[in-house]
Amino acid sequence: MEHEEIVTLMMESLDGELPEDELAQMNSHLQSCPSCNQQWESILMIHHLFLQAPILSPAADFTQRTLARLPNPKHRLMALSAVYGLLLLSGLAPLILFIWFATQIGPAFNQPAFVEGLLQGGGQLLGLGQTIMAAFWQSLSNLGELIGQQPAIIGLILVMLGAIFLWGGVYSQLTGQQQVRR
Amino acid sequence: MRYQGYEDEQRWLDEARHGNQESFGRLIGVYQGPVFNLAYRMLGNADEAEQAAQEAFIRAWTRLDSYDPAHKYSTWLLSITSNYCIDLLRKRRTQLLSLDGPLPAHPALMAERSAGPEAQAAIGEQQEIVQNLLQSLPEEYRQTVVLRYWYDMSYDEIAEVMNTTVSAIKSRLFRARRQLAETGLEMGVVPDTHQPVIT
Repeated sequence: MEHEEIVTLMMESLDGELPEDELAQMNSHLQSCPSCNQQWESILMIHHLFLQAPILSPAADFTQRTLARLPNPKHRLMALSAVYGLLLLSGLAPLILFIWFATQIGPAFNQPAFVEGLLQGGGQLLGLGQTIMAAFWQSLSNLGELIGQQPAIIGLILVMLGAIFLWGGVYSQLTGQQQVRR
Repeated sequence: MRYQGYEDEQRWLDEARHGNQESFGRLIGVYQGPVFNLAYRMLGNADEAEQAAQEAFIRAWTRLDSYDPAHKYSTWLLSITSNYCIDLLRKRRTQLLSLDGPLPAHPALMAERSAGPEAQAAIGEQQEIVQNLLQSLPEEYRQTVVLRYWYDMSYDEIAEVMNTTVSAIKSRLFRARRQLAETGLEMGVVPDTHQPVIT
């Protein structure tokens, strides 16, 4: 019989599922094969060691401490109700404000001077935004020219970025270790 | 796992589902040993095991509505416990931990307190060997071995707890026992009778 087959019989024997004839075959093989016999003795010894190991218990006040940590269903319900209430208000409040705004300020929209003033203000805001964007692109363009003249700046920027990531990683590892130790 | 007060247990479960913490406390009292034992065998650390056991009960409390009475409560509870322990072990593997040696046994662990000092020392040593052997296994093999040996679960029950097939469980147990035998030989737990004696 092959050694692998014998190992399979060993496992079935441990579970009490081995028929008598196969048990006899296994024992016969074990008597003549020292390595299989060694393996069987090892498996059997550990099997008995585990069977004898007791079920351990926690400290005496485990139940009380666990009960103290259980979330209170009423508190949970109250918290959920508060959240739903806030969500509802966050939807209702803008609606109420809009209705108030429409009733108070709405008539002013019928005044042509008011509308013209609004449009002018909007136009000025748009112009300001365009100026800021133009300045931003100009800065980038200037920076690009500078880098073209002084390529070493690229290296400096890379070194700075690398230093930021490195220290960020060290910091997160240190804080992670402190939490684990707690 | 057999429990004599099955009817009591069902009544406590029903009351706990309606928010009765006292009834749930009785359930904790009945199952704190098996849950803690499973956590300890999986994690190998008494403090972590106690935290994990508490967390398992808290999860069971918040998920009582999802418990199906057609299945055993013990199986469901141990499933929550073992899955949580597996998650912890996986997180542990990805974190940098300080490489301290194994922690000493927690004094709350129930040993044979009625035994004399020599017997207690022998039992402690045996416990250490058992834990070292268990810790040498991958998590899923360890889980299978613990559920088989400490809870006398059938293959079907273990497959249910681990959400897999019976053949997968048989295969894991087979490999686990084999690996334990090899580790036992390496650790010197099992005498190597195959080696020739040099005189």
